[in-house]
Amino acid sequence: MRVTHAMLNRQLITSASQSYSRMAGMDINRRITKPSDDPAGAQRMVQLRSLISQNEQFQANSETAYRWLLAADTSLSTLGENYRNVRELALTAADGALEMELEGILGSIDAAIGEIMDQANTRVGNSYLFGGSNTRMAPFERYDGGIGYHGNDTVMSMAISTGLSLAYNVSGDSLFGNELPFMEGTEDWDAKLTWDTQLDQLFDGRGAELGMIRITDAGGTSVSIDLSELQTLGELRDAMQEAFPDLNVEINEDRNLLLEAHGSLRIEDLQGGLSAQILGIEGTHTSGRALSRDLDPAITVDTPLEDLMGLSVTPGEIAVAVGYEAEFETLDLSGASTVGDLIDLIETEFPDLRVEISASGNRLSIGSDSYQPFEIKNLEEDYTAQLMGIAVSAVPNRPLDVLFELREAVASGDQQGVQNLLSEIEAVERRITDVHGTVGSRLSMAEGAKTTLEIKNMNLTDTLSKIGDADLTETLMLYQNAEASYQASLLLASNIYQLTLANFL
Amino acid sequence: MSGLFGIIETGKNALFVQQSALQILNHNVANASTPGYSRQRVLTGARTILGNMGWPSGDGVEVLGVERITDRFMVSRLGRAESELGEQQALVSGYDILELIFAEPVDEVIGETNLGDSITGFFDSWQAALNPENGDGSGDIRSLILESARMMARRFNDRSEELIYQSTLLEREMEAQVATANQLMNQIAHYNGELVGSPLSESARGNVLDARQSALFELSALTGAEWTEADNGVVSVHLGTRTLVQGNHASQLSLSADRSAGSPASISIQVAGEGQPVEFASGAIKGQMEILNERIPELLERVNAMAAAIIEKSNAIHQQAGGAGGGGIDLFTGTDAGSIALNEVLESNSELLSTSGELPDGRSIAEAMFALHYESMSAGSDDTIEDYYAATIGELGAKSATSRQLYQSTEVFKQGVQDRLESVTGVSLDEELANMMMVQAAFQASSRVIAVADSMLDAILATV
Repeated sequence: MRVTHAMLNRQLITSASQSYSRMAGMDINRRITKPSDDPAGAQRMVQLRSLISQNEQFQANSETAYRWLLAADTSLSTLGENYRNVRELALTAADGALEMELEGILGSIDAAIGEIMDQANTRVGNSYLFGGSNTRMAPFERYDGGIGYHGNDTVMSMAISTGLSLAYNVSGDSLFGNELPFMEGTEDWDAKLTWDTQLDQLFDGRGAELGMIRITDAGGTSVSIDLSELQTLGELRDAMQEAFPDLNVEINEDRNLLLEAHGSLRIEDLQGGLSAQILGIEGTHTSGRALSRDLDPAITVDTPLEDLMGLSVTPGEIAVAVGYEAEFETLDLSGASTVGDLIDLIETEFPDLRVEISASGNRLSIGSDSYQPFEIKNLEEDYTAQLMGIAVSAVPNRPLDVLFELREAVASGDQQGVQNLLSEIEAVERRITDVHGTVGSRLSMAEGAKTTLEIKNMNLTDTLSKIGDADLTETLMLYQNAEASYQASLLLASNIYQLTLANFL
Repeated sequence: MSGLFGIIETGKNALFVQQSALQILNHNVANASTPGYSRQRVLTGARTILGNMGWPSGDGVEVLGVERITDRFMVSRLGRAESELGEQQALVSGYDILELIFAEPVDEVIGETNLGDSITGFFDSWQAALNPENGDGSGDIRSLILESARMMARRFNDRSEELIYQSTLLEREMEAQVATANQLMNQIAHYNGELVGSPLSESARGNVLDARQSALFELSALTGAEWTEADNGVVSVHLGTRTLVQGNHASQLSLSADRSAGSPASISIQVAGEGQPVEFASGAIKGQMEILNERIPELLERVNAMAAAIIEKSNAIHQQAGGAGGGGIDLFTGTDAGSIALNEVLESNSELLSTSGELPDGRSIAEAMFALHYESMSAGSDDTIEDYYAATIGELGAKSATSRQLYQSTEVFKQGVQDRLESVTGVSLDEELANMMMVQAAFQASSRVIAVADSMLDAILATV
């Protein structure tokens, strides 16, 4: 093949530039500088970076959880110790301490109680440990009426790996056994039976499960009626009257269901059902009159106040106080026409109060969402609250108060009082021990998670670096190769160019 | 004629022939590095006449012509290689830019500039909200989340804008390329005219052919055009079934763009005066069109799909939650990567951002938002949004790597063809110098013959 100088020239340039670009394109830090360097590796890198970022988040979470649980762990040890101290000191005093000893004992009890109060308001960083999700405010505060709790019962948790959360706080509520105040109304409001009454609201809301019944009249006509699909009492009436147009179905003055026929009436359950029995109309009624038992419909938010037989008053004004050292405020209920209106009126004015229809379905129950006492009473000359049966008061159960009561009992030498209170103290102690156990296991879980996540992070980072980072030795070797071949091509070029026939002419 | 004068005449002819051979040789050497130059050679032949005895006898040498040495087969092979290389080169540089736009995985600092990290950062910022030490759901944490949301939206906007901008740049580049192609076709038509027009010296004809050859190669690299050469040296240029240059007439290409706001233009190229768009088989224009009409819209569509999924999912989560601490409003406005933005209401009322709001399934907003990490992007797919993004990057990288490999192998092939052609048409200085020595020797020998004949004439004249 003829070899021309232009060809030689181009080949030299090509090979020199190839070795040069191999050399220049080498990144000493990274193997992949753009996706096309290694598409699969680049894809994996993008995914890995996302995983690492998530993992770092989990790490941060487990660190926080660990710190919180560790703080709780320490705090619980101190609490347990001080409760034991209080109990032992009280016992000593109760066993008959001398006057002069009592001073010292009381001082020690005060110190222990102070320590307990301190720990109850302990903090991690600037967050209160035992306040539930309310971490910005000291959870326990001492009022004249007792110790108030400003926290809530929220258990906070954080994800420490995909799909796994760890609860990291202990609410003061679960620790000391605080209970929200709650009271049921004192009057049975006894809702009226109407044709609109839902069948599932009968018997104080327990409802009646109805099935097939058979009714036979004096003429011997016998009809089976399926009651299972019926919703209201009115539908029940319609179903019966459709079968027996002459049958009179009504609600009598005792608010019971009354069936009246000309001549005898026989009602029986079919298919093993209990419908007729439940309603109390089963059997052969020779008089033609079948009277149901008391059906006791539950009240609902839609129940008009005028349908409440047990409510003997048209609502007027009541006085309500919510909170420690709170003033009574007047609330006008006269605008209410249904049970729901009553609930709304009270809850709008006092957002902390939770007014509900009680589990028995025939009265209101009143509770509070905050650990604050509340009281509802009559206004002067107005007996609304009392007559409605909502003149109630409740205080949250506050085990911390017991400590102060115990101190008083010790101070006054009330031995029986001390004995009674000690059992409550022991209950709290047991609770602290229980919670301490849970916290301990969570603490080791957080610690384990921390270690696992650290290892995982190391692995992920390692993999990322394996994919993305250049192997220094390998890169250097390749670099030297490229450099050598670059030098060789330059040398070759400079030598070849010197060789032409022209030199020898 | 013969005799001593005949000998001197023959010697003089030989001197002339050697001179013109030296002239062409000189031309070759001078053009040794001219791109596209095909070496020329003086063809000489022996002159014969009938001698005085009736025998045919040699009457020296004559120039039969100047030959341009080339290899038509290799030339068309090279044309094809040029057009393929043109296409690959356009693809490679197109992909290079697209890879640059996504800047993956160049950035090392997570959460800084690339889209993938900003998405991860956005999801992660919600988990930070669950940490009580980062604030109580107000102030700091909200601004952290809002900042990562803003950052992610901006990354989406950037990618969308950059892709559309790149599309406009490519369109301009293609306009320039079409103009160049038109100019080349005009040149080729012009050279065709010169070849059949006024008579040219053979050496000059060779130069015209060389110039036309370069134009053809260039046109090939741009458009993938092919040509056929007639016996009289005139070429016609074809693009598929269309004839672009016929004799001294050249058609013109024109570019038209189908534009709609917010999305990249779709480009087609027509022959002026014809409606149907031209199908390119290879060449730089084809590569550009592939990037412009397919790759960019495809990437944009993927980025849009991701943005849409994030908008839809985050809004659904944030909408559902009501109650304390905001919620119940959209986090993002917009429908795709170009339009995604943090809801303006949140820009001015950050307290409306809710992290603690509760969803019907009992999770808090922050938990649900963080869980978007694991949620599949669309029904019927297992890929999470981040997987989808990683796959997009992987695919882009794979396409880019393939085109780069193809480019490299095509280049090696082209080099081979070029070397082959060069070995036929190229100027070898050694060869030219060797020939020069030969011509020189022949010239010297002829001069010597004339001198001898002259001295013989002198001898004869001396006897007079």
